[in-house]
Amino acid sequence: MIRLERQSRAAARRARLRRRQERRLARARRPSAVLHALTSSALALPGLSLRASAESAPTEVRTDYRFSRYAEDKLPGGKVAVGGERGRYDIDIHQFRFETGLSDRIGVAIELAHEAMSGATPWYVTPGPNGGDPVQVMTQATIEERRTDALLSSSYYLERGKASLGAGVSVENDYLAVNGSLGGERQFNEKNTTLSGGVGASVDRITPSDTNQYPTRPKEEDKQSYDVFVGLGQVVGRNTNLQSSLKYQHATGFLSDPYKLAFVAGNPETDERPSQRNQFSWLTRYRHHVSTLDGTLHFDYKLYLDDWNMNSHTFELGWYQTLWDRIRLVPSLRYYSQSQADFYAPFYTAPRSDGLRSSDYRLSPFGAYSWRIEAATRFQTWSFVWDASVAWERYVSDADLAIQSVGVENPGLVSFNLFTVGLTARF
Amino acid sequence: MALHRFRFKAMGCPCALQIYAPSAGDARAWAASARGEIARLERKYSRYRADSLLSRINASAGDPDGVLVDGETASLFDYAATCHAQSAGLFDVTSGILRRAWDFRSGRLPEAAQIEALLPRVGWAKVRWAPPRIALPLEGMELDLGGFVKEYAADRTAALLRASGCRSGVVDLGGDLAVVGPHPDGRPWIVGVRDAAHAERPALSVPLFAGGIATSGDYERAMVVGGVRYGHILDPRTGWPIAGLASVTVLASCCLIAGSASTIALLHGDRARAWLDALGLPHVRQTHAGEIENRIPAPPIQSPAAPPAARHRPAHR
Repeated sequence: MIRLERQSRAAARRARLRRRQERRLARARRPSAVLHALTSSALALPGLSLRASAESAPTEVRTDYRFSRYAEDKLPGGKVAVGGERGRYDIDIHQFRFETGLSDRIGVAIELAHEAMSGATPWYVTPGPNGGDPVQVMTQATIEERRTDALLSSSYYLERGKASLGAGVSVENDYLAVNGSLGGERQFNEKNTTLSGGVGASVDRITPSDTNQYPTRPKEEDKQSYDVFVGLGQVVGRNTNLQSSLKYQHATGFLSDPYKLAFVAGNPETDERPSQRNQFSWLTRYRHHVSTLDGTLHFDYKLYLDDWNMNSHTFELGWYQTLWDRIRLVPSLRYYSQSQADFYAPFYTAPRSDGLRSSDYRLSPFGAYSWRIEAATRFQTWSFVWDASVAWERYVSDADLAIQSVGVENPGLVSFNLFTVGLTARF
Repeated sequence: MALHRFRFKAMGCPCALQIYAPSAGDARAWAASARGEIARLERKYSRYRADSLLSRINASAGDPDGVLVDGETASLFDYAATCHAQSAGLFDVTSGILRRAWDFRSGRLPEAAQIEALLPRVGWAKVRWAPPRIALPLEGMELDLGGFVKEYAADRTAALLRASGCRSGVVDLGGDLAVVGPHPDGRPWIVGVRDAAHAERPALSVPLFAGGIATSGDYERAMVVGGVRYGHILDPRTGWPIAGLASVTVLASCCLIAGSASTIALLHGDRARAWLDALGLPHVRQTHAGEIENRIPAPPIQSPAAPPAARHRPAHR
């Protein structure tokens, strides 16, 4: 048994080395114009296939573990309705991923995540004392919650593409979601063009807790969402890659937040949102490798629109710097700005004619920036290759950061620190 | 699956074929088709055979109408043109006639006049290559594809074996190798890189899973005159030897590129190191002093898993 295990580990290691060498030979680490010219010319020779093999399933076993600590800033006393400065949400996130090839053609991956959440969250917003800025009422008790996610996915690798299938479940004491997805990818034009597409669906059941204490909370609600996406990737020259994708999502059912209230004409009322939402997003990614610096520039832009009349823009700029082949440093910056949902208000002096209401800061107009720094290194021991990484992100949101000018800021806007450590082993 | 070995002579050098086949019969059939392919290319491109296409082209030198060539040959001339352009004229398939002036066994340097007489007939730029017609405008001009036909034959043979169903094997034509596929259990082929200073001893071993490996050396034919070493790597622009590295071994996605890269590197003389570093392919270089510089890099760092999803899906309450 031990011998067999050792043999299969050695085989996996060899397969890993083979794939690495194939990749390196097909595309030298710092490809030069000379090599490009020789390769193009050699490719024109009859019957000389430079491609060593078709797309193939991962032949190595790869396991990832990462731990993240997400910590929201305290809400300052001036923004809180009663009781001065309040602590907010903290989440400890454990993520585990296992990936392996079952054959040349079939790869499988299992992902598990466990989140432990605790703290207080925004409940509703009231007008400020003496006509000042509105203030936040936070949930009274400290919430303790756990969420467990499991996702199983499998890919079937073809000559010039792959097909993938995924199924997942997410469990909380008051929430159950089951989802599935189907996707495909096809390469054209000497593998310089990649067309991808997919569909997904999620069925969620919400069974809010403490309904005896809060009788207006619904006892049980459902929601469904369906999405479809298409993407196009294009290699533009040897060092540049451009990807663009469109996604449409349709959600229906209970889309309100059972734990939030809206302050309407002096009374806290349940959060009421439309029972349908159509969301549309367009994401473009630009990658440019600078050979002389051994670094890669990443630039992403995302446009989001929905029929709640919200839109948002996300710009992200990152630099992936490799040092001495073993260390990677990734500083990145992100800017985000969104408009409000048309039925949103921090509070309401009179009910709306359509009965909709929400004071959720996530539907309010605001802008945000974040910066992040990641360092990663690779080392080898026994027959394992390890990648260790550590990252820190600082996120700040504020109405003044929005592209458009915002009349009244939601007092519940969040700022947080996210600290992550990760370890990947391959064998 | 058993490993079958075949040894034979082709293209003027010892060759070997190692293939895994389900039966001895299959192995023999594959080996026969591999040898057939190598023999075909030798018949077509050998300058030692009067009936080869290459000899026919060389015999037409001076005829402005030249010779019409087939698609395979046209692609090879295009490749020769690319090598010439990418090496700033150092790699030149017309430079073979310079060897007439150099007799390394004689221990005597050629007369300058001998070289001067040959140089007007050297230069790819003088060849009229208008696909599919090639014309050598001056009598006495000659093409020599010896610089890459062997490597091309190794790649073609490996591709042919793959196409006939062979998954594991390696084609070795005089030390230039093309891999059909790794051993059935995934092990790489271990290729010995010859020590330039001690001919029959391997300097180091290189694992090869795919692609090809080729070596160009300046240590086999040389003479020392007046304390100066004259090797057989000749500069097509001057007709004189280029001094530089003793040997360069390159790994590439195919044997042909490995071969051209190692040849061009030697032609770069004392600038070979910089040229190889800029090229970016893994390689081993050896100096006449016996130093071995192994430039087969350690595995580069890869992207770790995606960042945590936390910020993309805030807690729903």
